[in-house]
Amino acid sequence: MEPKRWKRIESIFHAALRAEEGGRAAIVEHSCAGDESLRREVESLLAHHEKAASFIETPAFLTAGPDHAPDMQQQSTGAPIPVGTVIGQYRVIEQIGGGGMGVVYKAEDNKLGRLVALKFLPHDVATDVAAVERFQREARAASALNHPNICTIYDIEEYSGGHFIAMEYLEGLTLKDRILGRALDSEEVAKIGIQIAEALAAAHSKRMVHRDIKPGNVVVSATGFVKVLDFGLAKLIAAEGEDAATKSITATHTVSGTLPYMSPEQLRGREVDHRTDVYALGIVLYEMSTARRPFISELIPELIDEILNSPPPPPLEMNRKLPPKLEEIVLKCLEKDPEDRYQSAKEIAVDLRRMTARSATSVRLLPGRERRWLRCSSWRWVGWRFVRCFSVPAIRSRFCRSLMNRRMHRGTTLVTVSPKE
Amino acid sequence: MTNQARHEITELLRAWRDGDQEALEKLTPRVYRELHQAAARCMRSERDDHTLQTTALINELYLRITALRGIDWQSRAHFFALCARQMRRILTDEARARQSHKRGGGLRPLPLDVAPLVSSRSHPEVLALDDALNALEKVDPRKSQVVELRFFGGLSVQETAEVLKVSPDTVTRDWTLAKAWLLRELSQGQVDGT
Repeated sequence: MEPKRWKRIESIFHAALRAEEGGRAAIVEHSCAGDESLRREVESLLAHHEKAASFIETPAFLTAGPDHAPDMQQQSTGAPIPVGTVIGQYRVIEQIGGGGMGVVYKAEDNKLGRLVALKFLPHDVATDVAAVERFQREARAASALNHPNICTIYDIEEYSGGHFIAMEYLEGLTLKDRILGRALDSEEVAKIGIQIAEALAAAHSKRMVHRDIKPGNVVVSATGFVKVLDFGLAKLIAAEGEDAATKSITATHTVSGTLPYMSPEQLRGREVDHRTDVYALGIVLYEMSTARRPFISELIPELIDEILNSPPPPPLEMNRKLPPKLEEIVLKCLEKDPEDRYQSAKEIAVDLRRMTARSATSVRLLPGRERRWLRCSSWRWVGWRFVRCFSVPAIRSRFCRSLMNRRMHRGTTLVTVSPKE
Repeated sequence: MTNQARHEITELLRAWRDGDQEALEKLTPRVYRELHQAAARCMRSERDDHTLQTTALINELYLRITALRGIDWQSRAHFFALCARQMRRILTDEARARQSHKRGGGLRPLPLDVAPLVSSRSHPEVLALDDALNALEKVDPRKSQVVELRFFGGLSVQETAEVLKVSPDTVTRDWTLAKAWLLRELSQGQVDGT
């Protein structure tokens, strides 16, 4: 192509993009001034521009996670399943997402009259025996996990040559949407953190490592109930004494995950165990507490450098309101050496509970003799003086009770998470 | 990478920065070899050859770069550009090797899984993108380079601008048009069945 003509195409293309969508056709028409082939060229580029939003936006060597799924992946998932399609006992209602390992639809289970989510294996991988195996392994692995904080798998089925998983339909926001640039208060951080830690502890006890814990894989319901999703990368940790043949299926030294949440050992392609999830939970706790991740370099090699070598900036510097204990917990999760981290997810849950229980305990002292805790906060002190000096005892006790209830409620809801929504 | 190799790469980079073109010629195969060996090494201990190995590549890329600390940004930018080019070669070589294996070429597949672009898809896709990029290079070399730096090298707009010595706005415009052009090229390929 002549350089001059190409320059012209380029300038009309950008002029059209700068205009409002409605005015584009007129600009192209006008600029091409009757040159039909020029107009066709520009229009076809503009049409492809519309489809190219996320095309090759993910660098070639960045592991694809649901956060990074490029358009081409979407395009290759086969034709979307039309609304109303009946597949066995399920009727498709709408598409609700597409991730690294398939498209997800909301559907109704006609037999049991409940909503379900159907996760389909992308069409072009349906022929890939290994991918099908991985998909089934995910389903089996996750279905073996029976825990209120882990999304329940109901079934694996086939549909027109492909496979899908029927799973619990969840309402709520992903933690990613919940954070959206705003730090959560520390009680909420603890409440969500405890539930993720419990889910992980359950998985770890079945020798499963999630390996892709991140806010996008955690759904929080309106009532604050947490579900961990997508055990797509989960692999069984090879049990000691297993023979080589079994180990080849359960090998854990693979590198996959979502870069900003990957642990140093994961990045190094080393053996990964449950402490990698401990690390990722640390990043999630950090992000909830400060509204940002500890390592934020945009340049991938530098991001990796930070993950491997830089200490995370203290969360307290980002959020002055953070309880120091929470900072301590987060930083312990984020130790570079797995040996220095919490050795189990359970311990994180215990520490988070202890942290919140501490504030609840101090409230329990309220009706006691000393009430020294009141002095730590001037408004409380003023309030208390007011109650003591000017109110009748009935009002006083009501005030205490309500204050106490409020504090207790905050403290105890963290530990009494209902298994039902 | 041995200390000596690291030292050599650093020295060559310095020489290249100072305008020694021969240094670049010597540097290129070293970077390719290092990246490729790293990938192969990583895969030798890996039996499940369907799992993404891409982060191993980044990691190796990073290790190359840590050897270059203390070197000014200009040189680093050029080093990234060089890595981007080598990464593209590694990925396409890999895709080609796998394809010829599939066709019964008897080549053992290289122990390196390719980019997410093709992670769950066919290797021809990487090759198609490579071909499309070559075609774009004929039409507009800078746009092809922008894609190489951003897609294969993982560089940000700002960094790409530094490498190419143009404004970030220019990079953004190049990137936008190049993406539309490439996607069109690729979808035409699909229609033609190529």
